Amino acid sequence: MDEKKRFRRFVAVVAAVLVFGAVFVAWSGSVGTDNWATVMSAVILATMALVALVVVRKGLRELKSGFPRDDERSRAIRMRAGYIAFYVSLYFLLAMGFVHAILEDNQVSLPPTSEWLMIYVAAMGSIFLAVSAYINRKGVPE
Amino acid sequence: MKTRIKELRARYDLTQDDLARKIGVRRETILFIENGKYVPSLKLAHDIAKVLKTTMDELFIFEKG
Repeated sequence: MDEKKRFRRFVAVVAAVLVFGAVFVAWSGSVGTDNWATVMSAVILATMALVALVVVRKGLRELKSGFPRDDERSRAIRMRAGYIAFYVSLYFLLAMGFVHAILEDNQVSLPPTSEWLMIYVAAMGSIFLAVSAYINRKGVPE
Repeated sequence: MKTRIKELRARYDLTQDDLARKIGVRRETILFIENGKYVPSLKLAHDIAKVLKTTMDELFIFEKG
């Protein structure tokens, strides 16, 4: 598949994900039982839209310049960042569990598990982006 | 790892952009290989050596340790 087709397919998938996310946020807001979840979903969606905008603009620029959108180095960065983000977020999940247990012991009213999960997903995404940016600057470790 | 890519590029009057386009990678990949911050795959190393009309042995210098 040539680079243009691949890029068009990528933009279509990104647009579909964002549209689905927007529908979900709107639906969650209209149900109105859980404001915190709606706010968190909207924040995650806005972050995704911002990242998508940057990535698509960069991709368009690269497409015009004749360079491939990704190559073996960028794939290696993604793989390494995904690996690190997965393991670091497991520790994050463990820490969240401890915090949850301590707060529960002290009879502090806690948000439902779905909201903790959203925080976990947001943290995992943030770790992935941060590690990708770091490896991109410092070089892929051998 | 050290490379002689920069030296050979200069010999054939190729910029990093030219070399990247010829082998179908991003310009940053060439930059990072030249600076020893990325070790290319066997195929990419072979492609670079081919474009620069040399061998992989001549192109990459691996240091012990």
